[in-house]
Amino acid sequence: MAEFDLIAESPLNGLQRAFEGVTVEEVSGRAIVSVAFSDRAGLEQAVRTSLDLTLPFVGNTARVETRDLLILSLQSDQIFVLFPQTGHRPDLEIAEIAGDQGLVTDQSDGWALLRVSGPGSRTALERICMLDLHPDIFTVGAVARTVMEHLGVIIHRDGEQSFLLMSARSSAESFAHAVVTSVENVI
Amino acid sequence: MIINHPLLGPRDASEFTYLGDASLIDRPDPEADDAAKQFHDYVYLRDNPVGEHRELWFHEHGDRSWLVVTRNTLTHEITRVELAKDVAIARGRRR
Repeated sequence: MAEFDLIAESPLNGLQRAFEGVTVEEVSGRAIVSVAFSDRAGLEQAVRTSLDLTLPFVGNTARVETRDLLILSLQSDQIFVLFPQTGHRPDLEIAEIAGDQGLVTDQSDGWALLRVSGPGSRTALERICMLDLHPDIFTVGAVARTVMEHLGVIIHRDGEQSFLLMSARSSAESFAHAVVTSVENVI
Repeated sequence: MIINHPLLGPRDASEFTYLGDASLIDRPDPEADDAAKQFHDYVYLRDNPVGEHRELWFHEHGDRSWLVVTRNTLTHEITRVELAKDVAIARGRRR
């Protein structure tokens, strides 16, 4: 096989915009691996054994600091695992954890990630996100799959004033435009 | 319209797609003697009630779950939301 020396481009080309009280920036270099399963108890056992972790329930996340994993529990039969991408086969790293209890797919190149942060971040998102993002309702660590500007989006609160948004790479620029427009409307 | 999802809490109806009468869960036995008649009724015959209606909604832009929503067709008031999976299991289906 021929040897190529290629440099990957991120979906949003490193987008970074700062507004008064709100920052919108692309998050790149993350491996994103989906684990689908039919037997939750089986996967729970596998994760407890390999990571000493209780699998979070739908709508919640868990962090494994030792391996820098972020586990997003998206639906009753699917989780996403995010972690720094170091190799070409992140799916194999997760398959090792899930054992034979999960169907593992590498989705790293399928998603564009944006972080909206700062004291105005919730206000900035309120025109585009239908979910109640009040910190008592959508608490730190919460995750949800929803719609913003007709685009499917996964939203995760990773801090009091910080949200991680994930949307399909194929419509990444429209998504970023929608988010930036939403910020500009309130700033 | 807001659908109060049993796992996720209140979600806007625009995140869902609508399928129809929840009786679709009760798929007839294809081995039955009168299977053709049962499937005819299953596919074509629907009640069209004024008032309470049990119906299937799919949370496409959410957790991809099927729900059985009890909705008043006159007022759109939603009185009950269940996971279709739980309803199916309660009726003796495996999943």
